[in-house]
Amino acid sequence: MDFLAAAFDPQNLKHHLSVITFLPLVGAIFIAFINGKRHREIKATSIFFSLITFVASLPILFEFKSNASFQMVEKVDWIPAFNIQYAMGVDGISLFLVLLTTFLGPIIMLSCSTNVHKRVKEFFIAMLVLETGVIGSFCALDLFLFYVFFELMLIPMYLLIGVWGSDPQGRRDAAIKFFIYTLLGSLLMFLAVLYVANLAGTFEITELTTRLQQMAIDGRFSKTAQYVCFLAFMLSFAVKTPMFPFHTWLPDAHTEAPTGGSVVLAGVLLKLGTYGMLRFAIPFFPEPAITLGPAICILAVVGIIYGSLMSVAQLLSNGDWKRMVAYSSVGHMGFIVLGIFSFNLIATQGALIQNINHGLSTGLLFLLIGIVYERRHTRLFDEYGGIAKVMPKFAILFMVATLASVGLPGTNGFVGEFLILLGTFGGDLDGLREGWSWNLHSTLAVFAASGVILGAIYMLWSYQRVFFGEIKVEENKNLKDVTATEMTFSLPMVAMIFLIGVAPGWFLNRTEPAVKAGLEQSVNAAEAIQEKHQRRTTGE
Amino acid sequence: MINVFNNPELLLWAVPLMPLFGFLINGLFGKRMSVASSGGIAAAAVVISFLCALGLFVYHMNMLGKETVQSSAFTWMQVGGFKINFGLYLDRLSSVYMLIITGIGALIHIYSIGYMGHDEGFARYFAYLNLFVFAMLMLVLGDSLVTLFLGWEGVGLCSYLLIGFWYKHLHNTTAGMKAFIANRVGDFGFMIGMFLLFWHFGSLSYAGDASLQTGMQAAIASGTVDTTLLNWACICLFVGACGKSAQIPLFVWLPDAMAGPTPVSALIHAATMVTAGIYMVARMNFVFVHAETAMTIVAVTGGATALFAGSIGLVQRDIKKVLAYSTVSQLGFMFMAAGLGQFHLAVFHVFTHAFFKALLFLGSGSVIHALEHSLGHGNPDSQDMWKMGGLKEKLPITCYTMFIGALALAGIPGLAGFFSKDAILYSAFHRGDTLGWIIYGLGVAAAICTAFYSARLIGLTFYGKWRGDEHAYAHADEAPRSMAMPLLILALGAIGVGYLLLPPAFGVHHPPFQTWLAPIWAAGQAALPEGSKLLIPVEHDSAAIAAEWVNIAISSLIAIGVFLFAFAIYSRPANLAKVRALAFRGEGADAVMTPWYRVLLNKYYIDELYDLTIVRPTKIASDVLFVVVDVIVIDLLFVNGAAMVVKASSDLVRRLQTGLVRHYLYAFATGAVILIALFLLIAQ
Repeated sequence: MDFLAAAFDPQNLKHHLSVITFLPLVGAIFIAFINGKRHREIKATSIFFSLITFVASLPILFEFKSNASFQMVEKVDWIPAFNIQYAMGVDGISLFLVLLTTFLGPIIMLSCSTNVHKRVKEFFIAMLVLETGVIGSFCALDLFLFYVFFELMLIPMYLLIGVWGSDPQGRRDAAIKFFIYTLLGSLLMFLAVLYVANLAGTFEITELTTRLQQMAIDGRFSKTAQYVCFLAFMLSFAVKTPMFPFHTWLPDAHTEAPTGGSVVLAGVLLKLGTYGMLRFAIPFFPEPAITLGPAICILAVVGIIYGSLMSVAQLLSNGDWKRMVAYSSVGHMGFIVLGIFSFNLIATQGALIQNINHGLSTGLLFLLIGIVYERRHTRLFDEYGGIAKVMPKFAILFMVATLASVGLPGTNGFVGEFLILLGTFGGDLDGLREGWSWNLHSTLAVFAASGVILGAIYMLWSYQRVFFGEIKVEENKNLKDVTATEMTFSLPMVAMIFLIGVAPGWFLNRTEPAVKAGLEQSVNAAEAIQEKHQRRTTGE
Repeated sequence: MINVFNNPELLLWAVPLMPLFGFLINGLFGKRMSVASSGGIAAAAVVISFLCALGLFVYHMNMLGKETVQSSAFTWMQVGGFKINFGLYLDRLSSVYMLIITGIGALIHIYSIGYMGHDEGFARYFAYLNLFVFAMLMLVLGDSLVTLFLGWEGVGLCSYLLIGFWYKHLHNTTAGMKAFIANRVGDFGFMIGMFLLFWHFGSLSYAGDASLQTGMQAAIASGTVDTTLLNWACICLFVGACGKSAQIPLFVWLPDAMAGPTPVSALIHAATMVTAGIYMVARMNFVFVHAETAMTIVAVTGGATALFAGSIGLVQRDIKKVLAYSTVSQLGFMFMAAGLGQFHLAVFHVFTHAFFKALLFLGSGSVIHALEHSLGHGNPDSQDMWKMGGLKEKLPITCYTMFIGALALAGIPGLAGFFSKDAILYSAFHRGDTLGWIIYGLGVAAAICTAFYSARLIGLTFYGKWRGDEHAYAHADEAPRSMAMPLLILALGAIGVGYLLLPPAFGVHHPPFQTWLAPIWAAGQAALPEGSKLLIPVEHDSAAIAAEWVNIAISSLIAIGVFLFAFAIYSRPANLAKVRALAFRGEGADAVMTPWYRVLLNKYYIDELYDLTIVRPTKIASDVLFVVVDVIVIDLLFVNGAAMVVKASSDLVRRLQTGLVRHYLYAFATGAVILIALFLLIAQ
C-alpha cells in the first residue's frame, strides 16, 4: 500500500496524473493473471482498482488552484527525435472530466458486476483499459500522446459493442457502424495532426497553440490550411459528440451496447468530442472557428430539436427505451456545442458544466434501464407499464434522473442549460463589447430553448409508458425492486445530481479562469488574424 | 427559542425549511409510519412554518417596523457578471403570499389527514404536499427571478406528481403530463423574458446592490429606457404567467388537473400555485409599468379568459370542473386588475379568492368523500352534480360553509369576493377609455357567469331531490372533525377578509391592505407620468365616489339578481326539466344536444384544436423525419454508401471478431505500428 500513501503526499503530486491514468491498466494486467472462471475475484479486482483510482483522483480536486494554467504537470521526453513528449496535466477544462471518469469508474464496475455473465474476464479487462484511455486522453498535454490514448480507448469500446452487445446481428452492425464513423473521423484528424505538428515543430499543446496562432497571424499558416485542418478536427469531434448529421451511430451503439458500455459511452466518451473542440479545434484554429461558429451553432440547434423529435418518434412506434435516451443525448450534446461555439463566457461555462451533467444524468438513466433490462431482457416500451407499483424505489430513482434530464431547477441539468441559453442569448464577445442588442445568437437561443419543452414531452411520456397505469405484462407483476448493490451504485449519481444542481459554485469557480483565458486568447487571436488577412488583401 | 424568534433571518429560513424537513421525513420513512404520524408530521411542519411566518409578519414587520428581511445562504451560480444567490427576500408583497401559503396550506394539510387517511399512498401524498409548500415558499421568498423560477418549476413538478397521484389510471397521469408540458411552454417564455432583462439590466435579482431595480433606476435617470425591449420582456414573462396561472391560450391543463385528490385542487390549483403568475407580474410591476402594450395584452387576456372560462363553467356537470373553470375565470379577473395597473387589487383578489375557493374545493371534497364511501373510489358519479341533490340534510356543515363560499365567489355584497371583484370592475369602469370599457364589459359578463354557476352548484348539490344512487345517499355522512374544522375557518375568512380593503365610497381612504402594499408599487408609480391611466388612484373626488356608487349598485344588482335566478332554477326539481329542454332536444336516449350546449360542454373544442394544430403535426414530423432523414438519407445513403467504399475493411472487421483477446492485441499492435510508420513518413 506504499504507493497509496505516496499518492496522497502533496510532494508527489507531480506524478499524480500518471498514477491515476495507469492504475486501471495495472488492474487490467492483474486480472489477466486471474483464472477466467473466477468471476467473483475478477469483479472484485476491477471494482477495487477503479475505486482506488477514484480515491487517488480526489487530491487533484483539493490541490487544484483556481487559475488558468496547467497543473500537476509532468513532462518526460518520449520520442525526442520528433519532439514528442510524455506530457500530462490538468486545467479547468479537463479537471472535472477526469474526475467524472474516475467517479463513474467504480459505479460502472459495480453495475457490471451484476449484469455481465459472459466472457467476464475479457469484459473487465476491456473496461479497465478503456478507463485508462479516457483519463489519459483528458490529461494528455501532447497531441501525439492524446492521439494514442484516444485510439487506445476506441478498441475496447468497439469490442464492448461487438462482443457483449445484446442482439447477435444487431451488435455486429452497430459495431461496424461505430467503426466506420470513427475511422472516417479520426483518420482525417490524424493527417491534420501530423500537418500542424510538422508546421509548428512541436506536439506540446500550449506551445502548439501559441505557435499556430502566431503563424496564422504571420501568414505562415495559410488560410486554406487553417480551414482544412479545422474541418478535419471538427469532423472527428462532431462524430464523437455526436452532432447532427453525424449521429446515427449513437442510437445503434447505445441500443446494442451492454449497460456498462452505454454508461461509459454517454458518460465520458461523448465528452471527448466537446472536450476536443474546446481544447484543440478552437485554440489551434481560432479564425475558422469564429467565422464558422454561427454555422456550427445552427447545426447544434438543429441537433437539439431534431434529437428531441427523434426521441418522440421512438415513443410513437413501440420503440426501444435505450434508443430514445440515445436520441435525447443528441439533443443534449447539441446544447453543449451551442454553448462552446457561442464564444461567450457564460455559455462556455454552462457547456462545460453541462458536459459533466449529461454524463451524470444520462449515465444514471442507462444504469437504471440496465437494472430492469437485467430482470426482463427487453427494452420495448410496450413490455412495460405500471411498474411503479412493484418497483417504487426504482421509480423514484428514475424520476430523479428524468428530472435532471429535463433540467428542473435544483438538479444539475438546470444549471447547465440555463447558463448555456443565457450566455448564448447574449451573443459572442464581439457583440457584447458594444452593449447587447438582438443578434443571431439570441434567435438561436430562442430556438434552442424550445428543446426544453420537447425534452419534457418525451421524458415524461416515456416515464408514463413505463411506470404508470396498470401492469399489463404478466412477468412484470413479480419484478424485484432495486437491490442493495443497485442502490449503492445509483445513489452517488443522485447525490451528484443534486450537489451540482444546488451548489455548482465549487465547479464553476475552478473552471472559470481557464475558460476565460482560453476564450480571450482565441478571440483575440482570431481578430488579429482577420486584421492581417484584410491588410494583406488590401495590399497595405 | 427566544433567540430564533428574535433573529428574523433564522425565522425566515425556517419558513420554507420546515416543509422541506417534513418532505424528507415522509419521503424517507413514511412507509413505516401510520396515517396519524405521517399526516401529523406533514401538518405540523406547515403549522410551524405558519407560526414562523406569523412571527415575522406581526413582530418583525409590524411591531419592529422592518420593511424587508434578507438572507443569502450562498452563491448559487456565478459566471462573469452573472450572479445568483441562494437567498431569501421577504418584503410586504411576499409576506402576504407567505401567510396565504402557510396559513391555508396548514388548514388543507389538516383536512387531508381526514380525506386521504384511507388511501394506501398517504405517505407519498404528504411528502408531495410538503414538497409543494416548500417549493411555493421558495417561489415567493426567493430573492431573484432565478430563485423564483426554482420554486416555479418546483411547484410545477409537485402539481404534476399530485395530479397523477393515482397513477394506475393513465388518464390521471396524462392530465399531470399535460399540466407539466403546458407549464413548460410558459416557462419557455419566462426564460426568454429573463434573458432579455438580464442582458438589458445586467441582473436578475430584486434584492441587494446590483438589482433589477437599480438597473431600472439607472435607465430612467439616463433616459435610456428601451420601451420596445421592455414590452417584449414583459410579454415573454406574461407567457410564463399564462402557463402557471392558466390563462388563454395555455389554460387547458387546469380543468384536467382536477384528476388529482381534491385537497390538492384546493391548495395548488386554486389558492396558491395558480396565483404565482400574478405574484410574478406584481413583483415585476416596476418593469411592467413601462411596457404599456404588454399591460394591455395582460388586461385583455385576463378579461377574455374570465369570460371564456366563466361561460364554460355554466354547463359543467362535474362539481370540480365547475370550480376549475371558475378558478381560471377568477385568475382572469386578477390579470385584468394587473393589466390596468391596479396591482394591489390583483393581489387582493388572490387573497380573498384563496379563502373562498379553497373553501369551495374542500367542501366539494367533503361531498365526494361522503359519496365515495358507497360509490367506490374514483367513481365519476361521486362528482356528477346531476346525480346529487338534497345533500343539505345529510351534510349540513358542508352545505352551509359552501353556501358562504358560493356567495363570496358570486360577489354578493358584504362577503370577501364582492370587495375584491367590485374594486377590479370599478378600476375598469373608472378608466373611461376604450380599453377600460372593453375590460369592464368582459368583466361584467364574466361576473354574471360567476354568480350563475355559483348558485347552480349549490342548488344542484344541496337542494332539490336526490337524483343518484339511493344507497349512496343513505350512507353519506358529514365530514369528520379534521375536515369540518378547516371548512369553518375558511368560511369565516370568506366572510371577513374583504373588509381589509373597503372602497373609498365607504369613506375608507387608507384601507389596511392597500396601505400595506403601497411601498411595493412606489418605484413603479413614481416612474409613471402624471395622468397615466396605469396610476393607482390616491385622491378620490366626489365625482369618483359617485361613479363608484354606481358601479357598486350595478355589481350588487347583477350578483344578487343572477344568483337568485339561478338558485331558483336549480334548487327546484320542477325547474330542472325546463333547463334540460334548453340543453337537449328530444327525450331519453334519442336526446340530441343543442349546438350551444355542445360547444360549451366541449369547451369550445380548444383541446381538439390543439390536437389538430400542434400535437398531430409534431407527431407526424417526428415520424417522417425519423424515417426519411435518419433511416433513409443518413443511414442508407451516406453511411451504407461509405460502408460500400470500405467493404474490404468491413470484411476484415467481421473476421476480426473472433472473441480472442490475443487477436485483438495483434490488431492493436499492428495498427499502432502502421500509424507510427505513417507518422514517420510524413514527419520526415
